[in-house]
Amino acid sequence: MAEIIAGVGTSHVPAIGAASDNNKQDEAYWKPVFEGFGPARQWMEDKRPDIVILVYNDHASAFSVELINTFVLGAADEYNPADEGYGPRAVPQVIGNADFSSHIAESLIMDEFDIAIANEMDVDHGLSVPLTVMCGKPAQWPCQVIPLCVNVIKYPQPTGNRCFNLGKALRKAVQSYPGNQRVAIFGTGGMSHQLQGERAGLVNPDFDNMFLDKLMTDPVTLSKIGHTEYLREAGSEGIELIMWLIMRGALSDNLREAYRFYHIPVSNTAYGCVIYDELSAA
Amino acid sequence: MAQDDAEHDALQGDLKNANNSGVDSVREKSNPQKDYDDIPGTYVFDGKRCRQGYHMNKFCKTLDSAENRARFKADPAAYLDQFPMTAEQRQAIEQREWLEMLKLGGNIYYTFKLAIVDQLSMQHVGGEMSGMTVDEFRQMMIDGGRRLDGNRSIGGDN
Repeated sequence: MAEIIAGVGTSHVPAIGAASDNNKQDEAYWKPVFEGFGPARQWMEDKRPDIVILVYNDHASAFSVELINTFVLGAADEYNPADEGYGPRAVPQVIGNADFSSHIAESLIMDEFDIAIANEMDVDHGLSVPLTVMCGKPAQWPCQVIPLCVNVIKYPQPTGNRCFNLGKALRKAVQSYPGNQRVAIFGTGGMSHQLQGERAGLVNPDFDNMFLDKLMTDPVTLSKIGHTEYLREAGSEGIELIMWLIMRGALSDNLREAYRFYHIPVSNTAYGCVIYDELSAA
Repeated sequence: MAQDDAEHDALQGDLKNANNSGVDSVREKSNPQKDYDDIPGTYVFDGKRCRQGYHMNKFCKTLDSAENRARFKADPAAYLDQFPMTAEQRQAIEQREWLEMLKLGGNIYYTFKLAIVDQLSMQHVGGEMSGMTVDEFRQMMIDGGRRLDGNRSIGGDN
């Protein structure tokens, strides 16, 4: 059966993608950020997951106001980079695994998580930037990627508890797939940031560090944080952190924190990255 | 999209029919003021704003195709004519009033597509929305970002 070997949390700030694409990693602003990616990239090379389930949000690229789905699972064999206004990012095409996705969708729905299924969609920076963070600039991404989109733009977003429980259902789904794939789950977005309004630029390192401290050892407490608390304390876009709870829900409690990195600012955002190894994984 | 309206109407009906013991809880539920409205400088993109800004956001969404960007730049007025926005929304778009767009139901991920056409960064838009120059905004981020203290609540503790 397929096995979950690790979880990764990382912000997916689009400016990281632009900095990488335009080779700015040695500039003073970006140097500490890309140096912070170094150990995460080394970890990725060492671990070599076969499949990454990448939890992210679409930023009005594949989806729009006409139809707002809370959870959408990609079920295609390939996904193209979206045009977000600059032309598509010059990054590799994302290779999926339709058979694996179909199994995950079936398992989730039988488990009463009625997820929407996308057989065709473009993927934006929410998906491609975490791959840049973890893999750098390879000619091809080193793993298959299963996109799992969460609505975090239109209120009400799913609750943290729902996300945490979706992660648990995802774990059952992966572990019942007949194969020997080693699977990592990425929860992306956050950390604290606010793009909009007179409060634009708000970050809250106290909240972020509390979140990073509790995510491995006390995720149940984090799963009870409500919408208004996220919006108020972590900024209107900081509520993206609920997607990290899907990742955490998919892991066991037998974990090791392999890496943690936190840096302010990346563009308008507090950047965070955390990696958890499953200690019982082969 | 009309669910909130339907719910609101149903609650209004409930209010009329409610006996005294149920009035308070029904009134509380139907109160259009949400607890997140107390967060200063923040325009939560809820059902009400989504409906209010629907056509403005749909216009912005079309700008993620190169062909549409070219058509919009070639003749903005004709391009905007395709979208049944209010006069206020159209003016906010034409004048690039980024904060006003949010107040009229715009969502930042949509309105930012217009900023990309103008080759503006998120720092530029963030600065304009909060009354700062782009350099001041960028420096504020380098200095650790906007602090939460003093920015928590309109009516309560900060």
